[in-house]
Amino acid sequence: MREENVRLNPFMYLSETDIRFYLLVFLGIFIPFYWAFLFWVIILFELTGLEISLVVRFLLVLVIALSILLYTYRNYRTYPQKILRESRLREFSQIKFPEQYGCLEKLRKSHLPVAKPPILTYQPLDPSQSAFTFGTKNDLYIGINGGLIMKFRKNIKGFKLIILHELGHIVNGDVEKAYLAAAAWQSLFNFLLLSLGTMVAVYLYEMSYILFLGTSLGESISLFGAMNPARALTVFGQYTFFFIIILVFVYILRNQIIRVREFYADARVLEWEKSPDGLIQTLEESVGKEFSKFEILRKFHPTIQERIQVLKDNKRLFFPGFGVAFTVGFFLLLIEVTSSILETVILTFSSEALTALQGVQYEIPVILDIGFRAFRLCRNHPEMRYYTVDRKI
Amino acid sequence: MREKYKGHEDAPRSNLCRYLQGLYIATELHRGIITVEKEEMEGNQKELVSRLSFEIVKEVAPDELDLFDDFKEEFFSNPDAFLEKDPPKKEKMLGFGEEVVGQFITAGVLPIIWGAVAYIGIAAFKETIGKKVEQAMKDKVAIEKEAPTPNRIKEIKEYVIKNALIHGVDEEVANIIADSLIGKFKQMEVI
Repeated sequence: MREENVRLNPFMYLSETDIRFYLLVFLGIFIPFYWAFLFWVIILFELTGLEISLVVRFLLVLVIALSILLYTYRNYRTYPQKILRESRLREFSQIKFPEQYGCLEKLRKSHLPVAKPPILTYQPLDPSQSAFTFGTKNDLYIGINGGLIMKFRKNIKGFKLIILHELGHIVNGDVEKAYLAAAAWQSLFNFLLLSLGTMVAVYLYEMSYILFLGTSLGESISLFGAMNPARALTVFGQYTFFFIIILVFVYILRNQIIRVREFYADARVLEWEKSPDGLIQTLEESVGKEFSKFEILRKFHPTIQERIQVLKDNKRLFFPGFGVAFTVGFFLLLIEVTSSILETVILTFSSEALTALQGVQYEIPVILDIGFRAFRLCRNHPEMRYYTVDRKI
Repeated sequence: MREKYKGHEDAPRSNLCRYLQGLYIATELHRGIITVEKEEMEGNQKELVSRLSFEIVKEVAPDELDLFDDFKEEFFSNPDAFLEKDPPKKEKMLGFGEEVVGQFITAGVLPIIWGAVAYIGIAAFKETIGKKVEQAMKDKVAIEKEAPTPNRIKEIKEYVIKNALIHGVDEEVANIIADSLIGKFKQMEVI
């Protein structure tokens, strides 16, 4: 084998997207929990005037954590039905498409020999020559667009490669990752909104209390009521800004995880096919759209050119790049902002431990992210290096 | 509606009663006839549009024939809302990729033919209406058949092309569809 055909194996050890995926789920569950807990403790403490015992705090933790977890799990479980309904997908039957079905089954059996195969569906009105996978870990679906069904007769090789790419997603375990990430994002969004809503509602309640019952009485029981409207606006503005930053960041993170998994699905096809030529040709034929660096943050797919580059040389999947540096810097900034807000506004009963906890929640996954990349590069496992076909790529 | 009045003619009744009842039945029957005809006409129009569209897609875009039945089903379920039935263009997670796509020819052909058939107004004339009305309509068809002027053909062609462009079909393909459709109409001796 020639040395230039040696490639690094992206499936050896955990990838950086795995780490980011865990980070996202962590953020999606922990951040709303943290804020919800903080608000409820403060609100209960201030409104009732009672000292909240450890047992009550523990029960609050349990209730809030369980509701966030259940909500996230519910979103995750209901995604397939939502997609089936929204995309108006139909059952891809053997009777209607005997040739295409036979080809798909053959590919599935040779690359995905599982007891419960993915359910095949299709959307005839969608002209794009593409397919997509969705579902949960044990409830997988492949959606085939009308354009791809048409491609079967024009370019069967391209048809097969696109289906292999989808099977690659399933084999790589991307379906559960992507949809759990999406569920975590949704949970984060709704719970942060709820926290903010609660805070504003309490403020309005207290302001009306002051308005009708007098300032001194109002102030004595107030949480936010002691603040004048300008101060309250500043505080809520800070919270809103902070929440927006978190939401935007997690949104970008979710999209980035899903985008990078496309490289891994391509890498799986390359592993099966041994040559990138077919896939590169199919990608070139698909005439993908070009996006600016800002636009790409909203997308679930890298540009075609990026994918072709990674197919030719996958080292990019191993070296920390700008994204990682940005992530680290951003998290550090976020910690600063959080600490500052907490110290100046809320933390009447806060301790340094809470700030430290914030540091932990942000820093550990980032360190893991970089650490795993370095580990994957340094570790000299024989399976880390594998060969493609005996020709220069 | 017709079923409802079966046997009414044998019932014993007075002259006045018979007259009133007859008038009532005639009115209702008239309404009934119109309703039934509309359904039948629509059924026949669907059949004709389906047949013509299939033939045209076979000529213009044979690759799309696998999906023809699906398009037909979607279109006939609500022709007016068909254009709005475009699946959401939202990017899908874990798909192969977002690409610049055109449009299915079939998606344009069905509404074009539907519009053209309605424009010419012949679809419902065959095997659909009661004998008296049918005769009158046959006469109308005969009148139309007598004047297949080049202007009429040009007019239909322009109508089809205009409609095709509205449905996002390329001008070149629109011309092919229009020529093909006029050919089919001629074969059917409609124009």
